[in-house]
Amino acid sequence: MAVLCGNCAGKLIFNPATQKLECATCGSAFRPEDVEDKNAELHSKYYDTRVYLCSHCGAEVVTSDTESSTFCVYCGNPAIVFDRVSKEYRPDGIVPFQVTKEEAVKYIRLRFLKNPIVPKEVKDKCIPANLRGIYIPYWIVNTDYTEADYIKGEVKQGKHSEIRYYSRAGKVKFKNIPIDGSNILSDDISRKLEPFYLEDAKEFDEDYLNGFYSNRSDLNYYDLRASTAYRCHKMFEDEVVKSVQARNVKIVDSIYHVDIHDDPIYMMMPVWFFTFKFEGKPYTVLVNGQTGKVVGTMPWQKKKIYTIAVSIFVITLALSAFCFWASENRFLGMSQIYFNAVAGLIAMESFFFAKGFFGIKKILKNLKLTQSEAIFKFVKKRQE
Amino acid sequence: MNTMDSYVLVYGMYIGLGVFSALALSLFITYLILNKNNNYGDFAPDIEEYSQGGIYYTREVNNVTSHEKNFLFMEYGENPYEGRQHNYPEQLLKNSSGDQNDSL
Repeated sequence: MAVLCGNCAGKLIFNPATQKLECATCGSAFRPEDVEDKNAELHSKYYDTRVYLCSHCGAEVVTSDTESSTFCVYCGNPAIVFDRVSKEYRPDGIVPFQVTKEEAVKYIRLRFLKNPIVPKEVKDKCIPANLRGIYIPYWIVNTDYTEADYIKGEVKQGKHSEIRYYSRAGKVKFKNIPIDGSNILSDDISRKLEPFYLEDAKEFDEDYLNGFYSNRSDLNYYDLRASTAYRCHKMFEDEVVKSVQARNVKIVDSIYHVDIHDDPIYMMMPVWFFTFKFEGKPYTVLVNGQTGKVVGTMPWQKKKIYTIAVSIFVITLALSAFCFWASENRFLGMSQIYFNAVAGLIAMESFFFAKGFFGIKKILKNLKLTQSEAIFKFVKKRQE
Repeated sequence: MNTMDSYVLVYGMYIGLGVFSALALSLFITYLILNKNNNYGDFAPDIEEYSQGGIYYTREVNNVTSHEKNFLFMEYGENPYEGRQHNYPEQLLKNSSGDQNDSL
């Protein structure tokens, strides 16, 4: 369980900045690989953890012996109770945290918090005390993969467009694809956290977990095969459409097969979770603990956004009306300039409308992903 | 159509276009502002990142018919990896529920 300082028997915590275990009591520092595991034989297959249960969303939060949990890192609820001491399968490897909690806060601030539409309440909550470091389980898989696609595309024939169909089939050998091993974290979110660089991976040592939470893999073989097939299919699909010389290329139908090679590698990857509540809704912003990549969508002040949108609408409308009037009345003798300005705006309006409409729709979808109520629902679904 | 009607038509069109332009621009700028709050991005590692040499194409035919689609799926419908035996970690097998009896 807890690793104690060899000098004063204080608890040791892993510091990502120095990559060493540090004693908060006497300040001694040790390399994780130098700290002796007195129960090495007993721990060869499993390692000990403390499991907390969130009574709000049902998530299991796993910690090492040195960290006690005070709120659920997934839904932000403080209704979390110690459940049991558990033996977990020992992962093959671990990518230790390289980004410190303070750096993670800095990356979130740099990415989001300079924006004036982010509520002050949220900005105030972005402090190191509200971040939790979690090791997320991943399976690193190698696969053989085959796919056949029936594809549709538009080809220009003079003034008209013609629909044409294409067939593509091929094989790929995928190597080291990381597949999120935890059902609680949406695959859409975990995919955006990538890349993780396996060059920095170490052989698993539970000392790296000191001071952090961890999650255990609850995937079975069938889940892993389904996630891997989907992941390979998405990558194949993105590539295969590039091979078709047409516009608006879409895959109409496809068939695919995957074969996962022997012994996928069980790895722990570092992620910082910033969980907070705003207007009664939970939000989770993630930071890749190796690269510092920030993933999430921040809430905004609705009043401010409506004011900005309405103001732009009114100003543009007034300007258009003025230009029409000026063009008709040859204001200052420059009717052509006003006419061109309006014509230019009109020519661009379809682009502006499509980009704005679909862009906002996508942002709202991403906001829903960040509102970890989605994770809550997902967990509930798994429990049914 | 008299002169009055054509005035109404022309000005009605001007007003409609003006309102639509204002709406489009307002949506676009609002999107740009909100996008600063969003960092899911479009980035997800592609096939180059995780494959050895990309796709090895076994079929690349342009201008096919729907009839040929059936042949394509007949040809590739069979799992080429059927019957391969593998070792998987105990954890993955233990997490499996008892009702799934497919061979691995």
